[in-house]
Amino acid sequence: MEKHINEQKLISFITKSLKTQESVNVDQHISGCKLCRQKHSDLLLLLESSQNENITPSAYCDKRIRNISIIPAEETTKPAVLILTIKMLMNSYKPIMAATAALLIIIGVTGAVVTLSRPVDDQKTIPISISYIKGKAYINNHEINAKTRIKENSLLRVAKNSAVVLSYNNKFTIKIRGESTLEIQKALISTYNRKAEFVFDLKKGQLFTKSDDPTGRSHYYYITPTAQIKSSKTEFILKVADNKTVVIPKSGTLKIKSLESDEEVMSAPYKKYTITSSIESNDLNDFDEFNADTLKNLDNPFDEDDNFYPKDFMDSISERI
Amino acid sequence: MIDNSRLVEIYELHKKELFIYIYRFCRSQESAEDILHDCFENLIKYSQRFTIQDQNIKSFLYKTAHNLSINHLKRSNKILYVPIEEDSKITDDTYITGNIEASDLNNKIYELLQDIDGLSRSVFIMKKELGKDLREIAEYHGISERTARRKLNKTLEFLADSLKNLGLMLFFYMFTGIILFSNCPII
Repeated sequence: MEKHINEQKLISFITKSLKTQESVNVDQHISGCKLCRQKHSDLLLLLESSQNENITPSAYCDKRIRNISIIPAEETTKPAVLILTIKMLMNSYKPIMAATAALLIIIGVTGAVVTLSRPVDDQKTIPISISYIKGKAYINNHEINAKTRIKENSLLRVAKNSAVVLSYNNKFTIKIRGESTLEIQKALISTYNRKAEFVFDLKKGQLFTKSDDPTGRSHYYYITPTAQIKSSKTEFILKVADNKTVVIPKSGTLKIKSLESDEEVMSAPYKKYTITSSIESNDLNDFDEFNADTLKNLDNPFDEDDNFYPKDFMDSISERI
Repeated sequence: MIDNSRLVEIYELHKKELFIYIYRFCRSQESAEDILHDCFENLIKYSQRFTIQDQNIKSFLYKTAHNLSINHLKRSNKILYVPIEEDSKITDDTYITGNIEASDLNNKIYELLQDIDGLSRSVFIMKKELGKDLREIAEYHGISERTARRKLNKTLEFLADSLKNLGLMLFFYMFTGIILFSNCPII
């Protein structure tokens, strides 16, 4: 028997590809050789199951599948009958059909001329509404009010001492503080069936966001100059200044990724994450002016006095950035 | 034909395992859910035209899941058909995994799996995550058990070879640390 067993043979042993006698020999050798036993264990690790307990379809997916609509096969023959009927009718009423077709062409051309003469607005409106404005805010340099419709690729700028609250179908709210700039985009997340979600690009400033979708489905993610943050049922503060991003989760779990290093972490509540080329996390107790109660009280995004972010707390973040 | 109540039964029975398989293949929760949905939709459509025995339903679902996953990855340009080299050089070096934490190892494995063909990846995932034996895996894919075994062997050789450098580097640093530490006059 060779002194040590090569890897190919060990792999064949694991996958039961060896002949019986060869397999017995390898087994005996492993029992007596520490090095080969270690190699064998290492190879077995490759086949050890990962943590799969949390890999399950969402409640939304369960519902979709349970409600798959079952169309009886007979109904699929209907189109052929329909086409035949149309053909018979067309043969019987040719003159009328010709006149109708001419009229439709005239209407179509007229409609096209009217449409083309209107100013082109190729940005689609997205279903995010402005729930609250304090002070002044602008989208693409036009001042906005509560009735302003938000379109894809809107650049929202909130003036100093102002605040804006955005919401989507009671599924999430975002409060954006003064001196902040946020670009609102729409992105495809699944090329498989072209499902879209929102992308919020916080270029500078700070915001608080709360996501409440009971299905736990994520509808958006954040981008900053240094990070990408994805969440579902969560609440967190996000601040961007210079080349740093700060994230402080209040509840739930966030997936935070550094855009420079691709490093990823799953966040825990009441910790401060600073993202540059890496992700650094600190306990909130590091702040002299801060305590956990302050974060607990960040509930009402519509506070006109803007006590939403206690001044001391936000200043303490600024000092450390 | 499979009716709604039967569909729900089949779904509850197979969803967990099937979802793990699809998820490990695509590495995306959203895409995996879409593919899972389409697997069952295809099952219903198939059952409207052909009779499907209960014992073949699982096999049908896995085959469909595999095909849909491959199509999805092709569309996203994430799949590269790189055949595993028949003569990949394996040395006698040890410590493939060294001191790498299990979660890091699995992340690395799934990264590396992106570079191999869909069938090899599928065989490996079914073996690793679902604990299927090779006979069952071969049946799901319509291949011989010998082919399934060969695919698994080659995948393991590929992973071992690719991971070896990482494991060796960690071992080297640890070994060097032990030597320096043991020579420290204070201890």
